[in-house]
Order: sequence, then structure tokens, then C-alpha cells
Amino acid sequence: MDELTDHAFNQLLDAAQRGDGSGYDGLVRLIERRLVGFLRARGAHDPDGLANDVMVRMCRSIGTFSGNQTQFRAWVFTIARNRVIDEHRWRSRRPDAEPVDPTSMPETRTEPEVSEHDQRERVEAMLASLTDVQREVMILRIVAGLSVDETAEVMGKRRGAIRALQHRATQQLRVTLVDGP
Amino acid sequence: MDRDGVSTEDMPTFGRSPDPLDAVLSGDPPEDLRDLATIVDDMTTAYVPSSPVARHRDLLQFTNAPAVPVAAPAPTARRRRAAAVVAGFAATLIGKIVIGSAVAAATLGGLHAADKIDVPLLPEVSRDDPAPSIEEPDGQPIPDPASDQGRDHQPTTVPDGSGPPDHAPAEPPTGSPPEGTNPTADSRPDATVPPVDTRPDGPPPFAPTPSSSVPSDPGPPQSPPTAEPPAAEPPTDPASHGESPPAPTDPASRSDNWDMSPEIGPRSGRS
Repeated sequence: MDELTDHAFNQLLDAAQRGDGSGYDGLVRLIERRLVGFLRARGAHDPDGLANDVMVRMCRSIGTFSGNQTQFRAWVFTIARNRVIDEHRWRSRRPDAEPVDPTSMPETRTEPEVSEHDQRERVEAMLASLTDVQREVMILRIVAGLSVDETAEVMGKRRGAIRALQHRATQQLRVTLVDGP
Repeated sequence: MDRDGVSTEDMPTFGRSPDPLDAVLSGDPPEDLRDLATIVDDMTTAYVPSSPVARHRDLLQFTNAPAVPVAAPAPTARRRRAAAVVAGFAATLIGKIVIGSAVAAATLGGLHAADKIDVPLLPEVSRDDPAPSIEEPDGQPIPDPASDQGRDHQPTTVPDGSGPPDHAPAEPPTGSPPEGTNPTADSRPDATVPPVDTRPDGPPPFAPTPSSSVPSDPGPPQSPPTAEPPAAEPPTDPASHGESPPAPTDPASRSDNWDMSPEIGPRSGRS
């Protein structure tokens, strides 16, 4: 994840809380790529749309936020995680709804997207060997780029639990990588 | 399993030991973690886009907002620091003593200015139009308990030289001579000292007849206008006497500002 100095982050935060467009833009740039990656890894049907929704919520509520860069990331990904859970519940009641992610539809993919899609299929096959909780820990740690403490805050678990889940997950992935999915 | 879904047997194993994933994510993994580095690269490449996300209209309303100039540098931070410094000072013993003394002094000063109490060390507050004193129907001045703390409310004999030497009537009396007493009673040998009207202009609201003017040696308090006033000599020394208006019927018009001896009547007059 892109990392800013504390001073640079505080300047962006102050600007955004004043309503300055440059502040919003800076905070969006800080999280947008990792946010989309997290939503893709979590199986959101419209990762780009959902990422926009999460960032709009972030911009609307930025005036009430108080904290450092670490707390900011944890806050944004908590919003994103809750939105994904809500979407999954909504989709579960509408099984016929089509996914919006263009990379998931073969006929609409470009060549880079084909390569990206194939690689994603391999990774998903590897992640399928994990439990849901282990998978979520690895996605937050690797794809979202969160620290152990940030991951613990997003998932509502203790730091030691995150470390234990991560340890089990990495052991399993290393075995899967050697032996194949 | 505990509430985290992790066996408690596993949790103490890690504690604060180095996280191998952090070593890989830092960009320089050790040799034994190359397989883990491969997994991290695969996951990042598969999911994280290489280009910025397309922004929808709702988000563009925020990111395209005009720049807002900074009016003051971080006022909330400054306020927080100032508040923290003040709170820290107030929490100390010295801070508590200083703040408590200031509050007490302000309270005493306010009460003194409002004539609720008389603080000897503070100067008297001047009043432009001091209200007249009042008297009982029998000529005895009506005591003012709000401004006459610790004093005998009944008129008493003024000891020699015990009059109010620190002040004198500001204005010569106008209109009818007073029925009151001479506020500067240094020369008076005895007798009661009824309150004196030191108002600069106009007759007292219940101006007595000229025959009721206060003599240079006032004598006992005079009766109110409703009663037949006793005869009195006209004043010879404006500074040695005052006017004592008849007793008003409105208790709210009692004077708090008459030059009086400390022993009787309301507070000393205001110049």
C-alpha cells in the first residue's frame, strides 16, 4: 500500500476536513488500488463500483474521523468489509444477478485482463485450501496491505489470533504451492 | 476454541516474535521465505490493479471540489495544546491555589462593588446619584442590613473623632435643608448621625420644608414629611452637614451610599 509520512497524511486529512478537493483526492489515491484489490479478492460483483461507494462514504464522514494513517486505513477497510458482507447477503437472496466485474466475463476481457484473470484463477485455487477466516486474514495482510494490528481491528479479533491464523494460512499455502491446489 | 476462532494453545506461541510475512512485504525476504514471497507476488498481481480506479460522479464531486484556503494553521490542534497546558497547570497544587485565589478575589471585588459587603482595603465605588437615606416614622434612620454589616442598625452616639474621616459629602445640599445628620461628624460632640443626602442636584424626592433643614449640629433624626417637621437652623457649612430626606415609602429606594459614621446607618457615601 502506498505510504505517506505522518506530516503529509495530516496535511491531506486537514485539507479534506476543510472540504478541499485536493485533500479528498490525496486520500482517495492513497487507498483506491488496494481497496479495489481487496474487493476483488473478496468476490465483490462490482469491485470498481463498490470501491467508489466506499470512498464516497469515506469522504462524507471524513469530518468525524480523527486519527493517524494506520487508523485511517483500518477505518476505510472496515467500511469496505461491511459493504462486501452486505452485498453477499443481498446477492444470496438474488442468485440470478450477473457479476459486473468485466474481468470475470471471458467475452469482454482484453489481453492483459486475460492474463490477469488466469493468474487470479490460480491464486483463487490456492486460497480455496484455506478456511474463510484464514483467507480473509491473508487478503487483508497481502492484498490490502494492512498490518497485523490493522487487520485485527478490521476483523474484530485480537492480535495474537491474527498471528495464529496467518501462521496456519502461510503453512497451508506453502504446502499447496509445492504440492499444487 | 476461543472467541477469535483460534486455539488458545496457538496464540502464546507468537507473542512479539518477528512476523515472516512482514519480512516478505518489506521487499527484501530472506532465502527461506522465497516461497512465501512468490505467494505474495501472485496475490498482489492477481488482485491489485496497476492503474488508478475510474471515479464515478459522486466521488468526483469531492475530488474535484475547489481548493479551500487555510484560514488558520490547525486551530483545533492549537486549542488542544493550549487546553492541555491549562489543564496541566490547573491540576498542579500551585495552579489550584492561583485559580482559587483569583476566583475568591473576583468574588469579593464583585460583592464589594455591589455593596453587598465592605472590604476595607478596597476603594469605595463612586456613585453619581446616591439614593437618599430613609428614616423610620419616628425619625430613626431605617437600617440597611445589606450594606451595614456588623454595625448597629440603630442610630448610636458617635464617639469623638470616630466619624467617617476617610470621606466627606461630595456635593453641597440643594433644596430644602435635610433632616439627616452631618456626615462628617468630627465636630459633633454627640448625638445620632442620621444619613445625609449627598446628591448633587435636585431636592430629595420627599423634600422637607425649609423649616426642617438640618442644623449644623443635627441633633436627633427628623420625622418624615407626613409628620410635622421640627424647626431647624439653616445649614451654615455645606461640608458639615447633609440633607436627610424624609423616609420614602419604597424600601427599594433606600440608600446604600450615604456618608455615615461606621457605627450606624447604611454604607459610606460615594463621592
